[in-house]
Amino acid sequence: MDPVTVVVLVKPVPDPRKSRGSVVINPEKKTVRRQGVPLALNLADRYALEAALALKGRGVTKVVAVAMGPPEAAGTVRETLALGADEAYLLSDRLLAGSDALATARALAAACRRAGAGLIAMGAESSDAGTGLVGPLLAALLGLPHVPHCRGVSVSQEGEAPGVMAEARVDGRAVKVKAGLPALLTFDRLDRPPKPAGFAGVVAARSKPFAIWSAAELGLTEEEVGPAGSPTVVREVRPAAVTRRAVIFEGDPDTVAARVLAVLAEKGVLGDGR
Amino acid sequence: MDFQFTQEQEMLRRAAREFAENEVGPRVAQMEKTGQFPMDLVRPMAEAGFFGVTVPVEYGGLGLGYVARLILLEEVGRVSAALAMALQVFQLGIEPIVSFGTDEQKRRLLPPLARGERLATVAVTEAGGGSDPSSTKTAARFERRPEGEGYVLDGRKVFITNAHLADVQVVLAKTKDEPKEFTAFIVERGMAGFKPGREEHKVGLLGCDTGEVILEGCFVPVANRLGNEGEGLKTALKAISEAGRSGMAGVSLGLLRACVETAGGYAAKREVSGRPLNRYQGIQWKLADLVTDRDAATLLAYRACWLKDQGKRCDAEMATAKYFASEAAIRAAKTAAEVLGGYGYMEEFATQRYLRDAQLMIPSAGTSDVMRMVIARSAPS
Repeated sequence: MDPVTVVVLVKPVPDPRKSRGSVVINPEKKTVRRQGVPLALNLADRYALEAALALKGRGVTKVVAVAMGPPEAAGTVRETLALGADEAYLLSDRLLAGSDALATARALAAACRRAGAGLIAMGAESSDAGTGLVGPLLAALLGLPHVPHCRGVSVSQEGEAPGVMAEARVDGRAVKVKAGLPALLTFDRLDRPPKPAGFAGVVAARSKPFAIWSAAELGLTEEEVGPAGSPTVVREVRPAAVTRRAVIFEGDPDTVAARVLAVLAEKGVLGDGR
Repeated sequence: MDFQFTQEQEMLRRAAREFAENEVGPRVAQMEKTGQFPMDLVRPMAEAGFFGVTVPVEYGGLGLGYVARLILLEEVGRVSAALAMALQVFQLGIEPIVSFGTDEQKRRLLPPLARGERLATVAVTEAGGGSDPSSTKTAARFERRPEGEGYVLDGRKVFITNAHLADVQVVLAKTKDEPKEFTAFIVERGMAGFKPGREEHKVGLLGCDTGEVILEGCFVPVANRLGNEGEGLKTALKAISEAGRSGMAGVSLGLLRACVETAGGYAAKREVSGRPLNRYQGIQWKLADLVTDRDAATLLAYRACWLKDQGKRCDAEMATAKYFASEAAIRAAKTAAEVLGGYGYMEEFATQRYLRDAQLMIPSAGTSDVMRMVIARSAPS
């Protein structure tokens, strides 16, 4: 397999630890306010980065983190270097403000081309917008196979053509999906916490390349990105109403347990039992 | 004047916080139950570079300095004061070698210590006293042996943090029968006559090892004498007054943060007579005191560590930070427990642990009375 560069797309999002549960929505644009709030790397993107780093030395020579966001997200993006990425780039430009999922995917497609991506890994969705659209749109724009719901990835050993074997979870079942390269993998949030950066990683990050890319550098025009390049608009944002229903079962323990299990299975919360 | 942390310091804090919450947090219950230090954390801490934070780069450390170390101890102490205490003393054991070691000693000892392959401590206190080093009885007698020149050490040290874990221990011993005539030695695991003694059973800081160190005819080669004969007190006091006191301030800051968060979070949720606790003035005053103590201690501690990193004199500032932060941690633990009412004393809430842990912030690295003696010297006269 030829040496492969993995591009990991990361998104700086409002830090869930510091937002104290209060996310501010811009009333005009109907988007999550990101200016002036503490930022953190989107959690699902951290798992994508971990999976990419685990490939290093096994067919993968370089892991490049790429993000799109305001200039103040630079510190958050540099954290990918402390976590082990070899290079990091922040695509930041006034032209990009107000981009919807498609316009964002266009901008990221240009960034992936610029970074020479042989494999793209990213979180399935972000914790702030949560559309889950950018990954599939990006794969379509670049003409790449897309493997969703990934949890891990290894280099495919079979045959001559370069490929990866992704461990994914589809309809509650663990599956292995082989994809030729280049490809795009989207990762779900996992139950375990992501691996923290060490102080050694923070020191190592000092000497790793980091730069801010403008839209013009990537050949992006005003028509492709920002409001002009965004075919969708958010019309309304409202809090999701969470309701709870209490049900009390009576009877002997075995009967009650069986009924509880039946209800949980019906609600689909038991997974496949593995 | 700039009170902002740098982008890199913010990254260090996030790294330390994630480590503390994800790796240390899940082990606290077990540490409380068994009182045992979690040895399985040594490797991840070593990989993160935590042992070598202040060790110069040329000796295998990160060369990050005291502000970075304070960030680390504060974040670890917020989750587990016991682990932060153990970590701060592992680092304290390295400091005298960094400050006073010969190049040969540094090259031989520092890289494995910075990598966490070997662990360190300082052993000064004896049964006769800690604040009063003149009561030290451990003696070092010069001797020529076929294998070379060295010193034979006899004595016992008590209340030594990491006594049973440390492979390298900086020990203070008398080389002459004069009140202030001490010499520092680097005693290593495997040297005949050197062994840990009894393990203390503490009320708090469970999971942080404290115990005796026994030296019985322990032959220490001249190559392991740290500094010149008679300079031991200076060696030990510099490490304790700088690394030890800032370390205790860091652990105290962690406790202060934990107390503010626990009390504040509880007061926001717990309702009494239809209103959350934090809407009552009596509780607001307690929260205000907690926040004020936390912030004052934070400013004092970071000032002292910043001075140290600038290469400026900082003994009085270190003492001020240690004195205020440790006393504030005790006040905060008491206040936080009070905010929680009866729950504050129950095992399901952490405030009872903070109460037990906070008291040990005082005697380590110099009591509050000793701190005030040091601080008073800086008063105008």
